[in-house]
Amino acid sequence: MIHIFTAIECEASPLRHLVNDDISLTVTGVGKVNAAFAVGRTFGPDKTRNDLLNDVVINVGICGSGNLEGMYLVNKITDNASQRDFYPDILRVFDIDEAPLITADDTVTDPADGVLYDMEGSGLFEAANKLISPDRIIILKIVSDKGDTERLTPAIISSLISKYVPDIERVISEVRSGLIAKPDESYDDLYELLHASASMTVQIDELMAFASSLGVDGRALFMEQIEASEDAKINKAKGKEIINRVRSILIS
Amino acid sequence: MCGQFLYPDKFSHIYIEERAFDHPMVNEVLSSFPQSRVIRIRHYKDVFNRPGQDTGLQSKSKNLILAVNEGKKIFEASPVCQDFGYGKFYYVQSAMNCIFGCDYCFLKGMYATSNIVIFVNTDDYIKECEAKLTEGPMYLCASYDTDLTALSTVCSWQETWENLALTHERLTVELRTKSAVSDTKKAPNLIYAFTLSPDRIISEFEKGTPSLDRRIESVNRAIEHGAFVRLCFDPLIYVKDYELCYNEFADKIIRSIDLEKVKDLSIGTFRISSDYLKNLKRSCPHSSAVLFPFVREDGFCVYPDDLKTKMISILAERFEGAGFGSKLYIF
Repeated sequence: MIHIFTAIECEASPLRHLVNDDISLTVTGVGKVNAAFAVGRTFGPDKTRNDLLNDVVINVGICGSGNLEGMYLVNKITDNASQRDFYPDILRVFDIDEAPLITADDTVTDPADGVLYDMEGSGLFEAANKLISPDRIIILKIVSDKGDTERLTPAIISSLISKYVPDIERVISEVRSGLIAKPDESYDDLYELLHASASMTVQIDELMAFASSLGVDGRALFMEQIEASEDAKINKAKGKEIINRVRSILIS
Repeated sequence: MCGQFLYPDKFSHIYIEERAFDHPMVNEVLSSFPQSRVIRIRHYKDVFNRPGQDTGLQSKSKNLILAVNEGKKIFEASPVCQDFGYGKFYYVQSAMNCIFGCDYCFLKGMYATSNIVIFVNTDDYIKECEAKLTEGPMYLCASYDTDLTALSTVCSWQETWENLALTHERLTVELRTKSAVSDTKKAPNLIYAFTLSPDRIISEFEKGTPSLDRRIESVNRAIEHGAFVRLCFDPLIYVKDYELCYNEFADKIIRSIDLEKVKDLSIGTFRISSDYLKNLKRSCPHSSAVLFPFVREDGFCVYPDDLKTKMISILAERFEGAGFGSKLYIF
């Protein structure tokens, strides 16, 4: 799932057409607390890193800068209040210029050169990184002003974001191509057949993974051993024996 | 995430601590990578220890971190390490992580990242080493948390340790490598330890490393130059036809290298801390090298005793049979 976050509605509206079953779009509200809260709310309270191995967070929004123009991929975020730094892990080639970002609590009216300024980046990154690896947190900032934000109307902002929609679509497409569907394999049938205790289920999992890495059909191997078992009824002791036999075959 | 769109085999980003910029090694490294994007950082741990890094993906697109090590630099080695009969056995952390991507490498278990840190304050390292030498002779493993020889295309750390050994006879430096790019120096207190593996193991599990032929060429070149050479057949890795694999390998080693001229030979099977193995499985989720159903012994994952004995005896018996039993160290 790809989760796009923007701070305000006029940043989101040019991206609405991208929303589908695999892409969500959330308007967080302005500021890093709102951004962090929105990320937490999107993922929910029960999710773990393992649940979200195929999820990607993309932050799209406007920013200020002294001299930069255009859209940038953020490679460093400094929280102006805490002076903490965060680093998205840029492992993929997006062909978008990179720049550092400073997240401030208020609009910066005299932005420095060579750096971007926003009000959400650090909060969003820190919250997302609780559950998502830093290579799957992508911050895209579009320069809208040099601190003179009073001239920015919703129409101007939407128009600016619209200009970069093809690039944003390219990033999404690139990100999506790298997502791998997690195989949903269950060995419940083997656990049941072998009357497996908790430690036996761990051993079965290990042997199945090892068999797969060797290119061996582990399930077929277990079934052969179960069928070859002389006892009509398999109990836990017999199950352990079968696990040991499969292990011996695999490492013989 | 993975795919074909990763940055190729180079450092796309070089993260440099602000306080590191004054050290000459920074310019030395940057001159080799003019295309890399430089990002100024406050402390290397802000990048190295980021939560939840995808080490498997990073290993296909490694980045570099240049930092100043203000802490301890030289450490006493763990008692489970190979000390080759030397009493005072130390290792030095001049870099962390490796340019290679071996599936079974303990570094993948130990560190939360595949990125490489190179410490650039060489003078501080030399001072700490010289201070330690006043306490007595020292055996120093310079490639413990890295492969410094492989990194010699990036920085001059290997040369630093070589030169220190050449000028301090109480210091014995071991440089262990899987690399083939080896320009060796002759000194009894400078040991070049080459890790050799069968080609099948190299192609399956030692990604990015030179072939066995290239490593053998490198060993022979070092011997010709009069360098002190150690051969490390460690770790031996289980594969389905390991007997054939390691027998052919032993044939090739005995045929291709003049073992008379080798200082010693070490043999050991794969073993790793249980905690590190969990991370290795995350990093290489399909590798049989890490998915093997290991036996757990005192916090370590090891091969079952009978398998371990069989694997070691294949090489040990061949080397003993060829008359080199006295040079063998078995771990």
